[in-house]
Amino acid sequence: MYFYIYDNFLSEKKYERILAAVETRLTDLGISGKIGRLSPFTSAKGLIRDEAKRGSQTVVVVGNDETVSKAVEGIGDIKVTLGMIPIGAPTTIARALGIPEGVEACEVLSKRVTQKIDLGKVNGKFFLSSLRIPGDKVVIEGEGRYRISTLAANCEIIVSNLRSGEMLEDAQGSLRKSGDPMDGLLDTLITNRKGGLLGFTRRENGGSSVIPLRKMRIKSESPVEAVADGSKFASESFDIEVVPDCLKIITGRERIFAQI
Amino acid sequence: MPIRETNHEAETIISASVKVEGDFVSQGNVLIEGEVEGSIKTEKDLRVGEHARISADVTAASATVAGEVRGNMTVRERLQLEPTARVFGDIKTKDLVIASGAVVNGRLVMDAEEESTGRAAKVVKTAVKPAVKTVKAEAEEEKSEVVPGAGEASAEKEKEGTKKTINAFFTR
Repeated sequence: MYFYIYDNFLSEKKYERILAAVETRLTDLGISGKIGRLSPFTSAKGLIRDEAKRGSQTVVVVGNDETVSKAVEGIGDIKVTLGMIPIGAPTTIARALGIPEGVEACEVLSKRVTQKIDLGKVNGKFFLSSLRIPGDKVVIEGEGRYRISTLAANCEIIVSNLRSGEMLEDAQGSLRKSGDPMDGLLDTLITNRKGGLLGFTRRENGGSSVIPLRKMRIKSESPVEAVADGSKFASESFDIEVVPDCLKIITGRERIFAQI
Repeated sequence: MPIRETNHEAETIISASVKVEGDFVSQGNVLIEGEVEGSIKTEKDLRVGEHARISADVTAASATVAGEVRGNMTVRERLQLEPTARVFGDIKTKDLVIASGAVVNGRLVMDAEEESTGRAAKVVKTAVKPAVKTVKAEAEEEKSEVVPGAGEASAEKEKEGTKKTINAFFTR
């Protein structure tokens, strides 16, 4: 049984046509199901828990990266399969998983090729793709055995489970290697950022560090705003770990990992 | 059916803008361009960049050094020192390549010597083993020789004992 979670922004008129097309295609393929809608008063976690109890085995997220983040946060320890239909922007997670946008994603869903992947966990909350933390005056304690400190100002720390398309475009040389969400490790990327025109920041060429870790603690002198899969939260201490083989996910052929 | 591939090789890069303190352990290839203090251990290849500064004991399967290492280096296979390399510490390796200009201050132990002494020790052991066997064999032979001898002695003692009782009878 399929359960579809629609993000709140999909109630905008501009998405009406694409949603109608998706729903028609899902009915044609025989994989239509119950629909739940997120709202400021309805959490993805609550919806998923209730539907899992009623017997739903597949949860399909309809929306962008932030929608996936909300679902993964709630799905982490529930035994259901996650699928997605990317609509809106950004959809870097879906792209990394080889899922095309809109109606074409329905074909991937119906083929149901699944992978069991790792999830990251930060301060008890699950994330699928990456966690971004501003790296100024920050110390990383790796595996409880060593400390990593950044010497340059304007650093950014990206803890990546699934290295998304955006990161691959920015990365240099060996960093272009795709992050594997099935290796039981989180890639910790430390990059230098330089101030650009009009207040935009850009990454310096080279000079990036990559350290694969299973467990780490990132400490800052003052609270900093972190972004996990597009959702923001602030803290001065981040306990991060990988949870291996945590989530069964539907992927497309064009995924950036475990290619045949 | 889920398809699982685990060919991913963990790649660690410590850039010039990063300092690592403590016991750094990696399962994959490691490239160091920054600072490391403590110890470094990797199961695979280690590359120390020209501007890297390492104050740590290093253990790796193979290593290429172009920067500064202050600490003992144990490299299982090949250690390659580039012209800009500076090593202040003991080196233990199997295969060593030193380019002109590289600086090494410390003792150098090549595994090949250890292997040869190891072999010599084995040879001595194999030579010793038969000797031990022969000693045991001789001892067993002695034992087997001693047993009939001991029987004769006891017979003689018995004879002497009967003679003594006969003599005592006649003296009475």
